Amino acid sequence: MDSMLASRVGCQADRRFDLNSQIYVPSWTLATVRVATNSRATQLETILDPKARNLFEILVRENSRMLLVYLRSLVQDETAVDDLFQETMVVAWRRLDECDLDRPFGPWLRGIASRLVMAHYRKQKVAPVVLQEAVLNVVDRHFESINLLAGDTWDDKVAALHACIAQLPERQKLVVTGRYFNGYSLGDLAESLETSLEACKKRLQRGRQMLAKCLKMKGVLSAAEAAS
Amino acid sequence: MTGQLETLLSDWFDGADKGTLVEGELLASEAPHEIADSLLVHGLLTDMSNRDDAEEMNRVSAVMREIDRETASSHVGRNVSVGPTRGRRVALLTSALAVAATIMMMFALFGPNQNVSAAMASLERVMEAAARPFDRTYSIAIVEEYSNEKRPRQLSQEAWDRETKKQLDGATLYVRGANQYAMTVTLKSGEKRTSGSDGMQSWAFRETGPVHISSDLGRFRGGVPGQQQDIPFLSVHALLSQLTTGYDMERGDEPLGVGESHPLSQLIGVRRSREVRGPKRVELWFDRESGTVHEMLLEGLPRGGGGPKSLRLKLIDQSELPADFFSHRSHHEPERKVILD
Repeated sequence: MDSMLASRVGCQADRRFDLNSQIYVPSWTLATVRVATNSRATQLETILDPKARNLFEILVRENSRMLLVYLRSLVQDETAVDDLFQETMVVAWRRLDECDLDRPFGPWLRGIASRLVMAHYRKQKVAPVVLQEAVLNVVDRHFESINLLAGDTWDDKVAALHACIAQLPERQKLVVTGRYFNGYSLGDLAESLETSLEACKKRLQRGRQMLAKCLKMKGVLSAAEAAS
Repeated sequence: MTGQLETLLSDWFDGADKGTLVEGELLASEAPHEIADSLLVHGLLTDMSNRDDAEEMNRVSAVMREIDRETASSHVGRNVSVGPTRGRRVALLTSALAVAATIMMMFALFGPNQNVSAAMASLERVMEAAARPFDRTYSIAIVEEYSNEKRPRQLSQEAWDRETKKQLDGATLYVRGANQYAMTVTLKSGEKRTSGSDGMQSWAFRETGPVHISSDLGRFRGGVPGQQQDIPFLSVHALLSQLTTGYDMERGDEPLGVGESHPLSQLIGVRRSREVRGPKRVELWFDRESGTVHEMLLEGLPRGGGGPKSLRLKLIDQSELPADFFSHRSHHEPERKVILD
């Protein structure tokens, strides 16, 4: 029952709010106020009652894998991924009253995450040239495409990735599995494959491209993107 | 994909210097789909290789703890923020209320109750962790025994006789969540007695005897130190619950493992009165991230239940035990006689 209710909760993707604001008013208080002041009140009352905390925990659990993959797509430092995960969820909680309950929760959460990621890079004095708005919009569409796939869990939805890895040509499979699953550095891989570091990096990048193509063919990534 | 774009992405994912390609921004704006595809595949592969269910649960728990902490600390602010805003007098009143609330908040933050509030918040976190269905294995060590030279006046002969019957020192206690446990102790005769609970029924048996089972989860805790003092030693979660009502709690200043990645924080509970039946003093050390209790020292255990004066529980393992580990069937041969008590 709770799970069904939580899955219906949605929020409008809105990247305009100030992430630095630390002012927090518990959501059930806001709900009480809104009941008397606007038309969203009934919706909010349903969600933002004293059970809000537990419902939010369900939302966190249901979206944690998606958010982790999103953050891991944009940030390579695992410690930063952990911090950004927590920060994103906490900001989402603070801003829960801004949800549009007719919209899905995932894009809203990713909107928060993307702003925090950019702030993270600014703090690191790294210019994330690849993370432009147009790129993030395409990434977001891919996540929506995955979200629409059949399957109870995130793993079910992206199970096709295993088949795609298996289908990679041996040259790419070796570097992809070596880099991601066996923990080899690219230097070690280049040495064992008796090739240069640059060639190894390119081989790995080609592997990623092939996997993306395969995932599009299997319908994991959106058909519109496949056409482009 | 152009060679330049390949280089840009290779540098981004695998290079030491990220985004140094001068034409990077232009390239990214011209090829958002190719870049997005690679980012997503990289995210999926990294996630697949880092997949860890336990870590994921910890991550979610850490978020909820942070939210609980924020919620608890925002009550004063809430009262101010929903106050009236119209009119000068009202504005002045609001300002006065804000000042009062600020003073109250400062008192709450820096006043004498700060330690107590923090201790209770920590205890709640520890209890939450203890209720989670994870497996924890504790070793038990006796720190101090009561003197056996003379029977205390308030101790019956029966309790006096029972006192030395069990050898708890070195015993291992297995715990899962709030109400599943298993422990084997050596009796004075050298025989072993195993007792436990799978959360639905409790059970106990000696090496050679029948298996006794009961729907009363506290049925076979008798004789274990602390049990008869309303502080069921075998259920770490119940013990922690007892601390919230019968003990004055404060945070200790003897953290363990300082300098390690997860230093342990200390909580100290002192029994409020003799009316509360339990150890005089409880000290526990917990992981401030996960809330897991790593060490617990029970001092001044009442003598009525028999057993030592003080003992220490130490977390020795958090590996997952077999799913049916807390069922009695996992601990004896299948043909053993079972008696429903």
